[in-house]
Amino acid sequence: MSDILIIGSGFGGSVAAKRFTEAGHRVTILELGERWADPNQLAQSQDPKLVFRLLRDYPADYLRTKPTLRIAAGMGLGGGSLVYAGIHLRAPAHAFEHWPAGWTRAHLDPYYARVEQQLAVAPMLDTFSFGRPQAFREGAIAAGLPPPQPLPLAMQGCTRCGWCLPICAFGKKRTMQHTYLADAERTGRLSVVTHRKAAYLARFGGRYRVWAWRTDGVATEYHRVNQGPLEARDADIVVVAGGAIESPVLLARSLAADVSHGAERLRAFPTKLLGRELDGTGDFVQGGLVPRRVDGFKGAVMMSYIDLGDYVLEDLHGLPVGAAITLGARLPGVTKSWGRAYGQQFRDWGQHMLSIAVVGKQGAGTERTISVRDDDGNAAISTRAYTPPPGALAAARSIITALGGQLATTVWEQSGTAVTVHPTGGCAMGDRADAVVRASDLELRDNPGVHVIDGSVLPANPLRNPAHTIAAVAERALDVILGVHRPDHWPT
Amino acid sequence: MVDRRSFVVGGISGTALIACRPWMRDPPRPDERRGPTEHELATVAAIAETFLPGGDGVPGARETSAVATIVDPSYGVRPYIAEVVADLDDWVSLTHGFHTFVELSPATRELVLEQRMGLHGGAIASWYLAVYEAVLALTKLAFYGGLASLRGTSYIGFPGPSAGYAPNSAAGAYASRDLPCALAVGAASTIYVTGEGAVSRVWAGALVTSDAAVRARLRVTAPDGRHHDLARSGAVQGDEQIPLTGGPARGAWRLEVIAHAGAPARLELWSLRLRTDRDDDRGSHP
Repeated sequence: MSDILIIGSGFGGSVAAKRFTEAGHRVTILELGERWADPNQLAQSQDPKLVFRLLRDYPADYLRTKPTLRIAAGMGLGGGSLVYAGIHLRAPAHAFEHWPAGWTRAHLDPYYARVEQQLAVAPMLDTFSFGRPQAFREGAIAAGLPPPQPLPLAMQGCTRCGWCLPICAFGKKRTMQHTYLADAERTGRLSVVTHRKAAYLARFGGRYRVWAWRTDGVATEYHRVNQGPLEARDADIVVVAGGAIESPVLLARSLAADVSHGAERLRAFPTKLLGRELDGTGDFVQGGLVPRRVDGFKGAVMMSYIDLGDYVLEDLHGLPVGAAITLGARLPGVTKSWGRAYGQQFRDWGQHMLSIAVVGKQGAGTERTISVRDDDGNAAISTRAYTPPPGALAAARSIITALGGQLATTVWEQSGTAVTVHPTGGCAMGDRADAVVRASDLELRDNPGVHVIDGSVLPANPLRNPAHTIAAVAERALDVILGVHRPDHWPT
Repeated sequence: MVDRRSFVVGGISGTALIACRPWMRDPPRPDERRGPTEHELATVAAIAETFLPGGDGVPGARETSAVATIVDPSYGVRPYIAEVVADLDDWVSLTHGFHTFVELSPATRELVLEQRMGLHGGAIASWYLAVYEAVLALTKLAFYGGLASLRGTSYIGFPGPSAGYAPNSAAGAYASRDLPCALAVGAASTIYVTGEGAVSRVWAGALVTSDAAVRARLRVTAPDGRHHDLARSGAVQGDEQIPLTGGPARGAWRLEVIAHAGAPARLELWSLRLRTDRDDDRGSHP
């Protein structure tokens, strides 16, 4: 039995927790955010007081600096699964072209299936009985695009209310907290320590030691929690699973840390690609008002999608809070986002707004251009925007105009700002000597027993909402780490 | 760190929900810990009701208790209420004679707010524009966020068809996870329903695909052993209400192919939608 310390509890860390505990190991999770369980909180989860405790923004000072790229990432026990839309699309085969040998869609399919089983993923049979996906389908067909398909969703027991974000108001979204972490806790070998931000890790007497800051003020101070006394925990194996933004900077901090008291820094590992070549999968949104009633607020947050190879179009719910506050003034015919007329306009919007999300590849030359570095304990991202994939916004617009709709002005059009909730890369796995982690078991090079298992290891954008691919990669890596499966063609 | 002055001077435009965030970081100064005065509360209420007026059966800021949200210390606007009220009253006094904002007619209030927010002609926005925008954001939050009441959200049609669902109820939609399979007599699939309550209404549906004509009879068996047969002819999408009510929702619901005639076909998926006695059954459902 080994002591395992997992830093982060998203789609990578949760899979690791379940697999290690079920294999008989003792596991401790350090989680930056908090544990969400109170049904009363869930039922009011559109309250910003709660939203701010569920999402981290990068850069933290975006209000002042107005960057052209912003990234938002989930936090809390369950990580990004708390705030995601429940979408589980497998990456297309060509998304793996730049992955190391041994990582193809065919290799990953059994692991995708395993995740689908764990999270009860299924398409909704009644998808096209709802106005929004119905309009999306009719518009797509009229525009000459392929007809949309129901999205595979991890939402068994969904009430179709549309209150999926940031947390399902009825607790029906199958988050990692409800599934993988619940399984791990049932073993009696999982300890969860919330409100901790890992500061750095080091070698310590043949094992590893991780120092962490307490983050009691994480609700609004998440980017300033790297203060105060440090707590130390030791483990035989450390899994770094803080996500594409936090994992690279944690490793960078660890290499530079002033360790003492018998600890030694991590052994030098390749850093040329550490915190570099990150990508987002968009996420661009095109909205518009269409003459027919679509009841945009009803149904799951996203229900159907069109597969266009390098990207997908997904029908997107118009969440009332975000829509009312951030987008109202940009709708056609709306000059002032308040006043007597606005309430009526907004109700019309709920009934007639069709929003379409673009998720996938970036425009030529702007793929894998995001970088992240440690800035005195915080993650600082590069803020130059990438562009949408060629033709993607035009395809989304063609659906709205085919329905006779008026296009809303997008954030991208107004300010050139790209926003993604799907960062990947930063600790890309590979067979090459300069890859940060080994392709087979995602072990940090030259540091046996330190694994990176999260979206940061993805060598390229999966061209779809990445949660499914991150979890499947984690399942496969855990098979290798636990000796369940060791492909003979992978370098060791 | 964004301090208050630089934030105000910086003039946040647009996304005022997000603009609440830096306000939340600043602890109130000692002299700001006092609650708003009656005049300040009345002025804030008048601002909110100008932003989202009600009447004629349409809810507004008053009906959704916007003031309670605006002065909630968690949102961080409260320490600046005194200053923004003074800013507004000073402007009204200057431009409309010796009056205060609350004494103005609704139309004049709207005009004054447009002026202070830089929306009217060439008027320069107030130094406190960010506070006005934060008040607007919180007014909308109270209305569209369903926090103080569901009146605003109900008005716009949100949440969707879930009205009346009880927490922990088994109610909801479930889909099979062990399909697809060839459509053949004896083929079966199970959906496990979790949650509480006895079934008050239930719909079942199955998707059968085939290149040619096909007929099938599918048996749905509830956790209490009662069953109901569905007839399927050709490719079918959608569901129908079935009479397997009264028993517990929780447990294994089974679908079995009991007859098949015609071309080879596949059973792609089946689904259940449930409501239980725990829910308020008045909620609509598509």
